[in-house]
Amino acid sequence: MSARPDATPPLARLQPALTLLPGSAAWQQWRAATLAQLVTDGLPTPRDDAWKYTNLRLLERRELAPAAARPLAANALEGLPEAQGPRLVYVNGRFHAALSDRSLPDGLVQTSYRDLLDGAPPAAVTSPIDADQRIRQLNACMAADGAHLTLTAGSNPRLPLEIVHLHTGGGAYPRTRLELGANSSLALIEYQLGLGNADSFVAAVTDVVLDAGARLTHTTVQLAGDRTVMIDDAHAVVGRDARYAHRLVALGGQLVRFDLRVDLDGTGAQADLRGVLFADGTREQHIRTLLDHRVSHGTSDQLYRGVAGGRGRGSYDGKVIVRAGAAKTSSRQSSRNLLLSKEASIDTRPQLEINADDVKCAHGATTGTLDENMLFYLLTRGLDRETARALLTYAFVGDVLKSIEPEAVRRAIERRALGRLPAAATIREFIA
Amino acid sequence: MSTTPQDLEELVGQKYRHGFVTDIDSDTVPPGLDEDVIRMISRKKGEPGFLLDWRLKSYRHWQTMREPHWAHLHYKPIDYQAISYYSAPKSNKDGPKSLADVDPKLLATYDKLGVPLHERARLAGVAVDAVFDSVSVATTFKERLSEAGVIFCPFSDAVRDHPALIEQYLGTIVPPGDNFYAALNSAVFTDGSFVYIPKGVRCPMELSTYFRINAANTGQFERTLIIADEGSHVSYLEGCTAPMRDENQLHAAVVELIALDNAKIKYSTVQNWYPGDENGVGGIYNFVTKRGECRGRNSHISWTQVETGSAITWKYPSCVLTGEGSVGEFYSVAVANHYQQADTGTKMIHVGRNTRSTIVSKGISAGHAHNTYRGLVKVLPTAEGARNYTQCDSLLMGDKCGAHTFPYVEVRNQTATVEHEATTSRIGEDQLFYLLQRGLSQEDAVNMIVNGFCKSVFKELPMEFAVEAQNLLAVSLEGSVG
Repeated sequence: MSARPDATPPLARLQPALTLLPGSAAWQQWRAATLAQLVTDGLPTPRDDAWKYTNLRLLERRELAPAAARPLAANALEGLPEAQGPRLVYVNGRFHAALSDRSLPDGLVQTSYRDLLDGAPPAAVTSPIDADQRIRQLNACMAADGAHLTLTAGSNPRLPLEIVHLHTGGGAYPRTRLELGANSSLALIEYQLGLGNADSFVAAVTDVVLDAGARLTHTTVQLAGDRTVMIDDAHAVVGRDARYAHRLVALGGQLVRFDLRVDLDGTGAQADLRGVLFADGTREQHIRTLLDHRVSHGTSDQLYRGVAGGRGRGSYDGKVIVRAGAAKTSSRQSSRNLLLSKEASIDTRPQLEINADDVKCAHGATTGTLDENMLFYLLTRGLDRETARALLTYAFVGDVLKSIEPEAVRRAIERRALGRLPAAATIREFIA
Repeated sequence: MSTTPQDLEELVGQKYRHGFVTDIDSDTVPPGLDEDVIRMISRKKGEPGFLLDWRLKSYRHWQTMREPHWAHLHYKPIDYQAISYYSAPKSNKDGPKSLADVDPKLLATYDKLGVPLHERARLAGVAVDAVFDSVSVATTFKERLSEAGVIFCPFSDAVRDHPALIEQYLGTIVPPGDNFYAALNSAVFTDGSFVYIPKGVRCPMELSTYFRINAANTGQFERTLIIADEGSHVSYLEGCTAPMRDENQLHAAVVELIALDNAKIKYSTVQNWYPGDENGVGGIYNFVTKRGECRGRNSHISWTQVETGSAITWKYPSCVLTGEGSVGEFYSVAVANHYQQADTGTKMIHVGRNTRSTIVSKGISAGHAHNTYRGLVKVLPTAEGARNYTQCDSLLMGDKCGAHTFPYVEVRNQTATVEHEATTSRIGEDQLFYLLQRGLSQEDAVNMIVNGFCKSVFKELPMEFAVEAQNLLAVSLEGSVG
């Protein structure tokens, strides 16, 4: 073996970091065994079907060990929209009390993932749902902290809860779990924010459980730094007549993948997923969704928009599974993608796997460039070409952006998205 | 929708029409595969040295390959050493010289199958090459075709008579190492059809090959090569049947199409291999590699398939659109009933400027069957202005079956426009009610709806086949609505 440090597989380099993590002997034992297995299996590659469009080659030379604590400037959160409710801040995966506002509303109980580390590793953490969830396993190995929140049955806090994940470089393994009691409802806004321009690796896991009749609007705003590789893995289990809505706005990062799995576990469960990815420059943005209709009368609706410019790459890989017996399922999936430059590319794979007959499932996917007729129309109205293109691009993602709530956050996100387009100032006049 | 269980059983019990065995003396090599078997096949066929080398190279490569398992299919592992790789009717040592020399039993077989081998062929205007187990037994209308300059003959004749063409084109579209089954086929293929349409010729009649597996424990590995020279036009039909047997038989074919400037190839398949019985016992494993290259400017390749047979179907007829302005089309109806499994679709690879492709796929699942559409549309950076439209619809009949759609869309050029649409549903109660209320029986109503569902594909089939396909569909699905 050569002596170069990068000749060691990146996961193997993590081994020394394990001993620094808090936790019982049982945890340490499980971690060591799991990491050893991960080292043997290696990182996922495009040869793995689920990772066909995501190449993690970048990680070969990246430091994955959890970042050491570092003092933060008071204005660290400046880049975010104004707080709409209580805010919990995690810096490189660890809770940061000074930046957080812990005045949680009645009914919302916060504990810490750290509490779990004293006992034996629970099955919910150790057993992945799919055989191939190596990044989720990696997170379970390395996570040392995270928000564990429970909303009691029937509670209905007025203000949204915000969780901010701040990344300053190095590895980060945030872990969030949210359980909603029966008939409760909540809006959760998660920010993934990169600070500075250091090389980062983030493997985030968010687990959400909705009891019967619960409602959650979960918004993920991804503003990772330009040198960040991030895999964000979210999993929602939706109970009877519960409703899970997810909004994704992916604007940042170097290579970012958002993996969302939704299990419709009770009859009449609903999922409403919308997202937009914006891969400009040399960014790579990937979205993967898996919607599992396990029982009857489920409804799911997915609407994803992708924009790639420069040498950006994007992908949408969505699968809908309807299990045998999941009658009266209704499922829609739409993926539309816009290519703005010669070297941009977007891959899509909208998949249906249907094992019941009394269902209505449809999906549609398109990839193309801006419609010449629409462009022409705007040009005849006196717009220059660049502005017209930017305006149409903005309109293209509008369907998704306008579904973001509350309004203050939506406006802030819209401004952010606009800022990424040429002629932003001119367009702002049109849509103000 | 209510059909009594008895009705269902009765109808599902419909026998596979082509499931007879022809008792014919055949020359079959013992099961097993090694280099000696390949040498023997090559020797039996009197092949030139380059072909034997090519076979051996393919075989050695095949040994390094692993069977693919990414498809949505479940089956017992195939024992490649338990298959006999060569079986030929023995009646005439040097092979039939003309139709008169063909064993009458064989002709009777084709009669039963409804292959218009004799006089009926003239009426139907179809030239037929019939492949029985591993060898081609008869080719009709040779003279009339050669007048037009068209070469249409068994593959082994082509190897003998036109070795230059074979050496130039064989394996250029589907190279031996392309995939596991293509490599196996390249090593052991025994016969098939060869078609060459010279420059500017419009083939005067439909060409057709009829494949039949007869002997037990054999696999069929045929290879078809069609070359359409500049400005030519050909329509080619392919049909397949096999006897009913309890064991699974392997069919691994390779089809290569080459269309040069302004040429058009229309390739239609009605695949009706034995699908196994209602408990999923027996049936053909159909692992087929079909690919065409639109090499010339404005060339056109169109695949139309009606897949009703086989226990397992693994088949992705593809188009590589290299020539500027070339067009690829794929129209498919795949029906899976009982325990059949189909994983089929297409690949459209856009390489040249202004290339266009259309995909229309209709999948019907009934009983315990699983039907998967798997398709790739890939637009390379060179394919300025490429255009694709894909539509896949699935119809489910019964709550034990499955319909799956796995499209891959990969776009590397911003001027391309790619659209994909898919729906999955069962027969609408309102449609059914409307037809019943007009006095149609349940079966007729379902047939009519299913035929309407498949219409956009059937209309692409040549007339004679369209009728056959409709009937086949009705037989395959009878009794599956309940």
